[in-house]
Amino acid sequence: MTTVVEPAKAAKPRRRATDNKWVQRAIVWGALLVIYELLAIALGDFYLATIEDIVGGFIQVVEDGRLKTVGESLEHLLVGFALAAAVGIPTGVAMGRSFIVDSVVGMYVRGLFVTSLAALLPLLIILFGVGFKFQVAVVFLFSVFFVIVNAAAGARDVPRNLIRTGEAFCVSPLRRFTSIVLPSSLPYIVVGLRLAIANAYTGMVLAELWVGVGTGGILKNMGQNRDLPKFFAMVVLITALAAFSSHLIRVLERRLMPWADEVRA
Amino acid sequence: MFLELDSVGRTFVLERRKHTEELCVLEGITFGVAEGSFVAICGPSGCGKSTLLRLIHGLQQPDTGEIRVRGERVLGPSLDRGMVFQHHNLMPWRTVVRNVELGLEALKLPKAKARKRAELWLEKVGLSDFAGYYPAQLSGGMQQRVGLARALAIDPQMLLMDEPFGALDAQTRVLLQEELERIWEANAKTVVFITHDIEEALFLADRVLVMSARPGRVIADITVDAARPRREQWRAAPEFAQLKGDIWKLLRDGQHEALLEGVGK
Repeated sequence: MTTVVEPAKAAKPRRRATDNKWVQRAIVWGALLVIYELLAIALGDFYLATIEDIVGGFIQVVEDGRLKTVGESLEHLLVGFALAAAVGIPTGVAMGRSFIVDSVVGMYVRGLFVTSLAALLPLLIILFGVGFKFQVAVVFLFSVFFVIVNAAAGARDVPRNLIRTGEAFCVSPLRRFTSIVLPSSLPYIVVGLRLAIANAYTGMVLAELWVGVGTGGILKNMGQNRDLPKFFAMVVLITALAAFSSHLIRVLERRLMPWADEVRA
Repeated sequence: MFLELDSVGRTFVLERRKHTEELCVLEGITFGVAEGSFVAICGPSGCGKSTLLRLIHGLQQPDTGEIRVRGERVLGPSLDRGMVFQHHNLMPWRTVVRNVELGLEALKLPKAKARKRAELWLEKVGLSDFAGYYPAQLSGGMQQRVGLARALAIDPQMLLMDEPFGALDAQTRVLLQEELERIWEANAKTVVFITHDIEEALFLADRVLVMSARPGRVIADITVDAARPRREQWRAAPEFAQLKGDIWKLLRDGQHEALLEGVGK
């Protein structure tokens, strides 16, 4: 005798407002803002600026036309980052796929990757002056190694099975590269780009702080004049821009790798 | 003979810390396969049966002897031979239908024609509805069927299967064996099928070659005379059990020797 098991009536999960990730975020961030505000009031405006002061500072920053300076800095950032991607991705993939390339350039890449690049700033000033070229060079150096190291790891990790499958189905070496090696390394490359853009911002601000121009120069002045509301407004602005750039690359990732997304769902 | 192996041998050189060790995997393998027949090669794990299949495909070259297909020496992979791997080896970034098209790209078929052919084979393995899915969204049995469709789509003269159902659960394996028999009957290609599963070999093949443990040699050549289509009746026949017992005895004796050899060292 066989009995058919009745499917148990699925308990309907109760929907709570706190299940929504935006509600969760609002609660946590709201609490943090309240704590900050209380701290700012307790410590006084010599150490911290209250939130309404920061908002006021932001309006002043806009009125002073500082956004144009920030835009110029972003231009350096973009040029440096684009160069880093253009140089870093091919170099990294070549390192990952070729023993020779790895033994020739790998040593320098790994060496510079762990070097404090800030220590190289004086040398860069000697080489490039303090203008456009210098800013771009710093951004480039701060981001390129993340791109290279990750792209190399991705290219090294291409499953041998898949390459052998390509051989078995007579896929030409060039096609094997474009249709197996590259898509397989893509997730690593994107991670590299995301780490790189975050570091590119660090590089941008650091280079400007060092020579006292652009966005970094403004921050330096505001800090020295204890113009805290404006100073905090600028810091928040740059942080938001960096987070937004990283998010843009994530969007790009979803576009480029639909298979990863559909698998997740 | 359609496929001929003439005293084929293969030795691997293992790099140990201080010395190199030679591992003789295959020794003096000689047999022929008639066109349109289904041959299973059955042997204990590690006896070199997968290596043998790779040699037949041309992915690797034998150290001694030679392999000929229609009198021509095998020197590399060719689209005349379709390979189905133990692990499905599908490209995760390609949809099911694009995976089936992999071998068709090297055939330089026009896109529309290739797509049509891929869809036809997907239909034959019962996966028409999943053409747009990614491999990770399919079950193990479905993934293996895509692998089969990919190998059949290039319309090879010979199908080489390397334990294709080894990683599947028992029920799925039986279903796929029946499906393979059906497809094979409709297309009558020469098949060389590697397995360690005696029942699988007996169910599918016209001829079972039994291999010894390392170094792999052919120790028995058993003809399986059973009317086709076989279906489930053949599995239940007394002759089936008889042959199964014979092969099991051969394998066990071989295994026993190998084990004793290991103790002697």
